Amino acid sequence: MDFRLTTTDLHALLPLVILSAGACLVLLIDLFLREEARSRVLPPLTSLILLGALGAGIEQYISLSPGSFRFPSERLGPLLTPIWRHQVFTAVGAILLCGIALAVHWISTSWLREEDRPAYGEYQCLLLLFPIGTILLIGARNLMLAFVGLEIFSVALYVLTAMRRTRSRAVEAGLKYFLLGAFAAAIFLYGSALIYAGKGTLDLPDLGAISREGLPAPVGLAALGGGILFLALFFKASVAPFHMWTPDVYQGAPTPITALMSTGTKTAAFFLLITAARLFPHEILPLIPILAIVSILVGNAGALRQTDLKRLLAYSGVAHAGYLLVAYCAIALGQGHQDAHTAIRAILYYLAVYGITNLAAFGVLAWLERREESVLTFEGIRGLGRRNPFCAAVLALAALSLAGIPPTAGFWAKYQVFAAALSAGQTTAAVVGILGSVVGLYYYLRILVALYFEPAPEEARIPAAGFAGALTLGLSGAAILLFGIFPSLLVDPLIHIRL
Amino acid sequence: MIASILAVLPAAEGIPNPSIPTSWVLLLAALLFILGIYGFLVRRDLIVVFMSIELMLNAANLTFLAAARERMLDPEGQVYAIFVITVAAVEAAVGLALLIAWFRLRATLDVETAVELEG
Repeated sequence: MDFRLTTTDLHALLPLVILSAGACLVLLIDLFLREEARSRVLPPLTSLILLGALGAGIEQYISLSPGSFRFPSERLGPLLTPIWRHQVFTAVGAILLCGIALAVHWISTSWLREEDRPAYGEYQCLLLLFPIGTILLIGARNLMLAFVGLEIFSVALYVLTAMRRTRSRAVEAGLKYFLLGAFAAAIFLYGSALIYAGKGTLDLPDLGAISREGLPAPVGLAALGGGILFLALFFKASVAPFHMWTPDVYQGAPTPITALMSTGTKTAAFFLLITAARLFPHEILPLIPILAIVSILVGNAGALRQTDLKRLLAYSGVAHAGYLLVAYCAIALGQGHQDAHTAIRAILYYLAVYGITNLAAFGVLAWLERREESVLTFEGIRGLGRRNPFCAAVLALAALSLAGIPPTAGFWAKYQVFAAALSAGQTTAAVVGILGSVVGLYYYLRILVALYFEPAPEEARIPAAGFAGALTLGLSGAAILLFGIFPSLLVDPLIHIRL
Repeated sequence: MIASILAVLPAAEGIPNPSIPTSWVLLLAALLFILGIYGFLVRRDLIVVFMSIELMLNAANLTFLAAARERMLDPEGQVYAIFVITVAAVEAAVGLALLIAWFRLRATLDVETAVELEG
């Protein structure tokens, strides 16, 4: 067997190579720096590494799109072919995840500086591990590689959640996340083991080449394993009724990490749900619309009675997982691959918009969060429109986009998801989704009311955000509006996605 | 772990027809997995809950090894088991660190005390 890597292989792995080398570099440099030098050297270095990986992802996207300059051969060498997916799909995933990690890094710099003993090296190394794990998960053509990716980013998140280890809420959140996450990982693994026992391989079959009828349904042990795997993925995507951990962990984790969790983990889980769709036995596929409906109901009902904004966004995340599942019905249950590809594009669009929107929302919360975490309720954002118009405007845009109100990107995301489900014949799920969005209006508009129509409390000190944080918020707010007014800016780049 | 070693032993000695049928090993693994789930859901001591997760991981390992033995000692399945052992070690390191941080704050390892985040 030939174990040499070709240049195409290296090209395919470039974002991962940059991130892994960068993570090691950050840890090494951290050892040799004085306390005050760390805060000057490490954050810009991390930005540079993430920008490099983002650039590599964009370059991959361009060279893989049809009609552009191509490398002499875009076929992978013998070593990577069976395990890696060198496709536009992976490049889009890499761009999304590197972008999310970069935004979280920028949001968190001022937060990190306020800590008693800022642990720059550890924090930034773990932050770089997150996109490594998720990109591995997205690009994997083999379930074991996907599992390793899943564990890399999960372990990084467990540690990041409990980073402030003298605070009892952070450690409680970290412990809960760890126990339930490890439980889900073990279930995932046992499902994979049963699939291996049934089929003798852990390869993920391609989605587009074969319609659902073209591929024999998984039977016996493989079907059982597929079903178990399916549950573990729903857990990671926080689909109800597997969402129990979400509100507690979101509330207890540091706000920038909550942003990373809510956007990055959901993105990765849905990418894997897409690539693993053919492993699921046909008997459980009718469950997907039901789970979508349950998620939408549970998420919206839970969010209605929250006063803590982080918990509210956690329940809203459960509802959004439900909306994504509505489109996923079209992949799992749709008939031709035309339906499946429309739905994949709708899901990727939704994930991108949801990522930008949630980063904006959590970015504002991270900005407002004082060290004692007292302002993260409706009480804390009252009258923010007058106290800090910029923060209020970004949060208002994010709330409108999450609610799916027309001039924002969230409207087009919801539109595409429901349109994909309707064209695949999933009427019930789509109708419940639309009704659920109407219910959701109530609590998103409550945020707007608190921002603009309620008097500000007496003492009103807003901490400084720092340049990077303000830049991230400005960019994400602008992106919400821009993609809302010109949705084709984000729709067109997804046209070339094939699986 | 002992069970997973037993599963490969006959094959390692070059016996073509292993004495224990694969279905028995798979059944044992399934029992271990269910035992792990039961322990995770029912036990209150965090260490035992953590051990239950390890039990589930080893059930998966046993399944991989049994299936690999069934398929003429397919190296693929055996390598997967090594991956799993590595990942389990990583999880154990992080998990025990979290347990220590928790114990320092609360001086107990009872699951029921994790109630600060509610709402």
